[in-house]
Amino acid sequence: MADPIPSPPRVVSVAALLKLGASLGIVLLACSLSWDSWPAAGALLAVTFAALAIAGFTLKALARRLTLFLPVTTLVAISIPLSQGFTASWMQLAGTVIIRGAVSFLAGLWLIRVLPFDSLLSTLYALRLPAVVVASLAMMHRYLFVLWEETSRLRVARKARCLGRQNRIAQWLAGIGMVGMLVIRSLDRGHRIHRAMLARGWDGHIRPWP
Amino acid sequence: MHIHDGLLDTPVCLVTGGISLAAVGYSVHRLKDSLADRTVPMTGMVAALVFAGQMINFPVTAGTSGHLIGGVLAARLLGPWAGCLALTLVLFVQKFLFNDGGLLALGPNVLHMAVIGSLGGYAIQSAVARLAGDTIRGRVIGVVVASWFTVMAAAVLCSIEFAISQATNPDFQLGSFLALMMLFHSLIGIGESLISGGVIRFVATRRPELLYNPPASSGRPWRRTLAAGLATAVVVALLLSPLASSAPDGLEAAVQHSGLRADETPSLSLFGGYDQVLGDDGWESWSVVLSGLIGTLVVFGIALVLGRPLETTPNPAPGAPRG
Repeated sequence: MADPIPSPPRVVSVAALLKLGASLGIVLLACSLSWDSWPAAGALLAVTFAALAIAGFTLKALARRLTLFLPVTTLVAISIPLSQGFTASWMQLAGTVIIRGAVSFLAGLWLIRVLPFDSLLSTLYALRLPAVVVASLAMMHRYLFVLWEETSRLRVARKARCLGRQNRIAQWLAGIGMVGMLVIRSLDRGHRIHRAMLARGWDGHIRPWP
Repeated sequence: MHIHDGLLDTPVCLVTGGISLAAVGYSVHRLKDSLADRTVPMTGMVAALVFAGQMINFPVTAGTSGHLIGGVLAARLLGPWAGCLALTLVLFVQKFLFNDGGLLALGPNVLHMAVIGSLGGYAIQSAVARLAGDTIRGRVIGVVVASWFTVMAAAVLCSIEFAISQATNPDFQLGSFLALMMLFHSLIGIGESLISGGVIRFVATRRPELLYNPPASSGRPWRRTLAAGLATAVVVALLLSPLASSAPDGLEAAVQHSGLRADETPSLSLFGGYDQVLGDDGWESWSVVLSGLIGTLVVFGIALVLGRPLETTPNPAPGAPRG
């Protein structure tokens, strides 16, 4: 029997593809940079900053994101001279890792700003990614924030119950209990969603949105 | 654990991305059989759960904290295939919604956390649980052991990938880098084991029906796993062996540095070396690829023969007639 609700046509958005391609291109260029090619790194950084400014990123927002990113990347980069010795060549290699990472990170920020998640999902569907992947991704995106709120509520409740400083073992036990409770609550919610989907005619045939 | 762009070379990212794509693609293929049930909502929900779980940091040592990876946990809740997909979705969303992790590095990240974490983790925990007994205790032990080993395996693989990225650098010492990586990740692995084991114990004692129960299979239950394992090993051997560094390994370098000389004794090897299977007239690269393939198949065959005595038959269901 023919499917009564046909799937929507898979139309690829050229603009979305261009944005994905541009971001990937900058990352590829950044990953080919070496310590000696600092003028090219500077030019690439300038182009990325210009794209971010056009996309509406403020300097304050960028500084906040880089403050979170750079210490972690520096720690990873430092592990190279830490294991190989603090010679000039290893310091240069660590510096290259930081520059490559920073440019790629900024390109990623630009992509997130100019390609909203629902547009990304539509593009993935149009690019014939398996429907089960796109549907699971949409489901995850929908419930990500619900579970994040649930986690915040559990944290507040834990703080309210435990006045004062806890020792490390108590922190670990409370954390494990919290994640365990989150597992039970989220799986229960998953079962409820499944029953609601069945009530609305879910038959395992995925019909994504246009 | 998330690798950012710039740490690994582009060819390494592309090769690991190809392996990850094959593994995730096979997982999705396996899931198509169970689409009519709860796969989509439960995979999405557990992916969101792992994402939220990764936000909770735990103190590891002074000034350092770790967070859950969740590959083994997802595999224990959803099964290996959906677990692998769930972790892939987590990494995808982290990249495209929060810019955490790299775009090119999505391949290695999926390989380390989703493929090794879920598929490898499920295989380890199933094997350990079979030895420890199908009780809550046995399951928890399986999860604890699998969690630690998957974190360590990911750290080792990451070090090897970095060493391949540094193949043109003769000064790079894989041993030193590996030691540093394993030192930190052994602590993170303990954290992962404690959290995953604790959470599975918490769920198994309160709501055991929420844990994944593999469907009863007839015939040879390990045939597909064996085929998938062999295929993965062959792909790794074929794709990564040409990228191997020509620099001496740790032992050879130590021998060279110390001025020691090995005694020249006649070799009993079938081939003269990895690069001489097809002769030494310009066929070295293809010889290395063929060596990788032959070696993988031979080791797989030996493991298969040696593993036969360990094969067990599934226990009959309670109440089922015996004999």
